[in-house]
Amino acid sequence: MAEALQIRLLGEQELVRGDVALTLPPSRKTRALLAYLVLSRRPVRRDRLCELLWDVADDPRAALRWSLSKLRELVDSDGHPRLLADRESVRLALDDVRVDVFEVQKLTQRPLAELPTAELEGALEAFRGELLEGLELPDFHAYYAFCLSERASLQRLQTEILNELIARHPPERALGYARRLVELDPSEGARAQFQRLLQRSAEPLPARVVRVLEAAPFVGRAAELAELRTWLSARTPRVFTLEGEAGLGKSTLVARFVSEAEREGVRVLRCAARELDRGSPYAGLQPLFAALGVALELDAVQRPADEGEEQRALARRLQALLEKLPDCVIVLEDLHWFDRMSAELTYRLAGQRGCLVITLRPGELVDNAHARRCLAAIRELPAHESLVLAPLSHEETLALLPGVTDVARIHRESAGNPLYALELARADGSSGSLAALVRTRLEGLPSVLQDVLRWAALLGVELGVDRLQSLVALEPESFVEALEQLARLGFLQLEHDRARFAHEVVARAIYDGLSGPRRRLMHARVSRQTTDAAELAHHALLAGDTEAAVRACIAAGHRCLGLLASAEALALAQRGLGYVRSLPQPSACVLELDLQELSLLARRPQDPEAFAARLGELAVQALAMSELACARRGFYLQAFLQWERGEVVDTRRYSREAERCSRLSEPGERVRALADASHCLIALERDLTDAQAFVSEAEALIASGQPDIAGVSLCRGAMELYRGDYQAAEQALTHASERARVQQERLIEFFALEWLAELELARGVWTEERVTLMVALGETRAGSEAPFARALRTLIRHANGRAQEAELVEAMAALETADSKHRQARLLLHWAELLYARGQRAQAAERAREALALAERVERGSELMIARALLLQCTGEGREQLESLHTGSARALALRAKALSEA
Amino acid sequence: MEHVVVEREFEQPVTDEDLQAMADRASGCYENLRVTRIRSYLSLDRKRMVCEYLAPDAESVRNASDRAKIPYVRVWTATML
Repeated sequence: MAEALQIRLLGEQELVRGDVALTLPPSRKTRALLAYLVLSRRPVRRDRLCELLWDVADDPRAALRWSLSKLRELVDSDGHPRLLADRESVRLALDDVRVDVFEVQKLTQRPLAELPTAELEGALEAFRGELLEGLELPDFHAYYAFCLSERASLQRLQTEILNELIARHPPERALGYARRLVELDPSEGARAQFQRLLQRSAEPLPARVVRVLEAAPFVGRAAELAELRTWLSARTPRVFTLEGEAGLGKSTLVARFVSEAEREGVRVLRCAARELDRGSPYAGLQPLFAALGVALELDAVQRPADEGEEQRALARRLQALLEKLPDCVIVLEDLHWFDRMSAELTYRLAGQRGCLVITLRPGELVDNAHARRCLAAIRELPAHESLVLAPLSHEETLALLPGVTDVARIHRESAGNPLYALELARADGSSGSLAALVRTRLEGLPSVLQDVLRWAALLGVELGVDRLQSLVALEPESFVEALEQLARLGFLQLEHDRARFAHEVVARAIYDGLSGPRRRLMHARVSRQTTDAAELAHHALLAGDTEAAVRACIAAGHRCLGLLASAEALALAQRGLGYVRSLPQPSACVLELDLQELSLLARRPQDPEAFAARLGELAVQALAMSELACARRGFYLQAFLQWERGEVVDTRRYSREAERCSRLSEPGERVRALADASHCLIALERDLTDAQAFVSEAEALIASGQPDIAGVSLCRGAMELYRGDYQAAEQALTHASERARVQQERLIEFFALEWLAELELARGVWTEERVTLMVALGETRAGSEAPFARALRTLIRHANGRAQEAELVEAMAALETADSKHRQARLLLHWAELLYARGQRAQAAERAREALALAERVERGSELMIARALLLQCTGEGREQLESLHTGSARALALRAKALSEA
Repeated sequence: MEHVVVEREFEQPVTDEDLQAMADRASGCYENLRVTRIRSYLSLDRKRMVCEYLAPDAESVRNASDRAKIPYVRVWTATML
C-alpha cells in the first residue's frame, strides 16, 4: 500500500510522505502549479494552466510538461498515480491525501461556537503561516488573483477561530491569540482588543534572546576560490559560473574573491538582478551601464520593434559597453532573475574582456528560458569554467560554527547549507525551516529594528539607504544606529549608500511573515514614493491599487518600446489587460484602450479582425460614457488596423483633426461634421485612416440615437470601395442615395450615385439608367456635376455603340470647361480602358497620358496609378514610375483586391 | 495652378464680420485643397462679390466653398490676357 501523503499549503508549502518531508522543486512556478491543482479539486485544462503561470515568450506548453514531470515524481507512489494528465487537462487525485486546507475547512463546517476548544486550537495550529507563503507570483495576474481570493477566505476563517478562542479564554491566555489577530489584521479594533487584554493580564511580554555570532569564517570553498584566483595571475578573458541553490555560499565566495581582486587594484563592477525586474529590459545590467557612464538612451521615436531592430540595439549597447570596459572583474549575481535583454547582452559580453563571474541557482533557472539560453551559450565558450558549490561536510560545518556545541544536529538539519546552519546556530537549539528560524530571530529584536527590517524586506534584497530612511520614522542618528546593529546581527551588509540583506532567503522570510493587510499598507506607501514605472507596478499591485498598477504597466510598457524591447512591452500590456477589467468604468475602458494600443505598438496582433473589433467595442463604450478623446483614439486605432496595415500609428495628428470636429457642435451636429471631415479626406484621397475613423465615430453616434445622415453612409461606401469590398460598398452607397433623397441632400445623392456608377464600371457594367438620374441632379447646380454626368452618359452610350466618338469629344470638352480635373481624369481613364479592350492601344495610351497629366495636377494617387498601369500595358513605358508610386494608394488597393477576387 | 474666378451673390449686404467668418470657415478647406486666395472685389451695395484664386482646378474651389458653406453663383477657370 502506498504511503500516506500530506500536502501542507498553510505557511510554506510542504509535502510529507509517511513522516519524511519531501524536497520540493526549486521552481516557484512548479510549486504554485501543485498548489493550484490541489485547491482546484477538479480537472484543469492545460491551456488554462499555461495562461496561469507562463508568459507567451516562455513556450508555456513545454514548461508545463516539465513542471508536471517534476510534480509526478513527488506525488505519485509506486503503482499509484495521483497526477492524472491527458492531452487536454490535468487533475490531482487527492482521495487518500491529507491536505491541511481541506482539513481546516472541514472542521469548521459546523458553527465554531459548537466546536470543542481543543479542536479549535488544533485548527489554529494548522495555520503555520499565510496560505501559499512566498508563492503569490504577482506577475501572473490570474494566478495572483486566485491566490489572493483563497487567502482572503482562509484569513477570514482564521480570524473567526482566533476571536472564538479569545472569547473562551482568560486574559492571560487570550493575549497570545489577540497578538496573532493583530498580526493578521492590524485594524484599530484588533489593536484595541490587544491593548485591553494586555492591561488586564498584567503579564510582561517574554523577552527573547538574540544570539549574536561573530562574523562567520570562510570555509569549504578553497578549491573554487583558487580557481577564481587563476584569473588574477593570468588576466586572460574568463567566464566563471557559480552554481548552487540558495544559501550555499555563492555570494560569500564572490565577496571573498572581489576583496582579493580589489586589493590587487582591479576594478570590480557588480550587478545583482531582482526578481521583480524580470520584465524590465536591461534592468539586470543597469548598474553596469550606470557605473561605466553608458547611456541607456530611450529612442526618440517609439515604434514597433522587430527582431532586427532589437538586435541592432543590443549590438549598439554591447559596443558602448566594450569600449568602456577595462581589464576588470564583472560580477553578475542571480542570472536566474535576469531579464531577456540583459541575458542576451551577457552572453555577447562573456569572454570578451576581463573576468566575468556569474552566480545562479540551477533550480530556479527553469522558470527563465532566456537565462537558460544564455547559460547554455556561455557553457560552449572555451573561456568558460563552471564552479558548482557542494554542501558543506560535517568538518566544514564544524569550522563554520566554532564554539557551537550541537554541530552534529545542525549539520544534519541544514544538510550542509551554510546559511541554514548559521541560522540554526543563532536559534539556540530551536529547529524549523530556514524562514521560520529567521522570523523567530526577527521577533526577538527590539521593535525599532524589526520595523527597519520589514521595510527593507519590502524594498528587496538590495536597497538604497536613503530610500529606506524615507520610509522608517526614525531620526537620522537612530536610523544609522539601527542599521549598524542589524549589520552586526548579520541581517544586513552595508556598503556606501546601499544596504543588502545577508541573503535573499532572509529578506523573503521577513517579507512573507508580514500579514496581508500590513503588507498592502506598506506597499501603498512605497508606491506613492516611487517614480520607477516597473517598481510602481509591482508595489501598486501588491497594495491592491489595481488602477495605479495598470497605469504603471502602461508607462513601463512605453519605456520598453523606447528600448526596442517589444516582447517585454507586450508582456506588460498583457499583464495590465489581466487586471484592467476589474476596474470600475470609465477607467476600465480608457485604460484598456491604452493597453490595447501598447500591445498593438509592441506586436502586430495575430487576429487583426478580432483585435479591430475589440477596439471598436471599446470606442463605442467610451463614446457612451462621453470619453470623447478615448473614443476617438479607439476609432483611429481600429481604422489603422483595418486600413494602414503596417504603417506607423500617429494618434496625435488624428486627435487634432477630431478635436476640431467636436468643437463645432453637439452630438447631432458632430455627426455631420465628422461626415464632412471624412468626405473631405476621401475626396482628396488623403489620410484615409483618419477618414475611416471619422466614419466609425459618426456611425457609433448614429447607433446611439443621433439622426442618420446620408453623408455617413456615403463615406462608408467610398471607404469600402477603396478596400475592394464591392458588396459592402454597394449596400452603403445605395443607403446613402436613398437617405439623401429623403433628406433633400442633392449633392450627397449625386456623390452616392457617382460612386455607384464607378462601382458598375469597375465591374464592367455599362448602363446609363443611373447616369440619367445624375444628369438631372447635376443640372440643379452650377458645378461640374452636370457636364461630368453628361460626359459619362455619352461614354456609356459610346461603349454601347449608341454615340459617336465626336459626341464624346464634345461632352469631354464641356467637362474640361467646367474644370474638374479629377473627374475628367477618371472619365479619360474609363475611355482609355474601353479603347484598350477594343485593341486600340495607341489611342488608349493617348487618353491615359492626358489623364496622367491631369491627375498629376490634382495629386490623385489612384488615377496616377491607374494611368501608369494603363500606359505600361499599352506601351510598356513607365514601369519605374509605377513602382515608385505610393503603394498605399486607395484605388490601387481596390484594384489589387479586385484582381485577386477575379483570379 | 489655374486662375479661378468665383462670382458670389448675397441676399443681404454682407458685413465685415460675415466676411471674416467666411474666411475663417474656409481657411482649413483652402489649405487642404491647395486653394490660395489672390484678391476679391466687393460691390458697393455689398451684395455681389468676385474672388480670384490660384487652385489646381475650379472644382477644388467649388469643393472648398461647399464645405465652408460660402455661396457662389459661378466658378470658372480663367486665362490671363
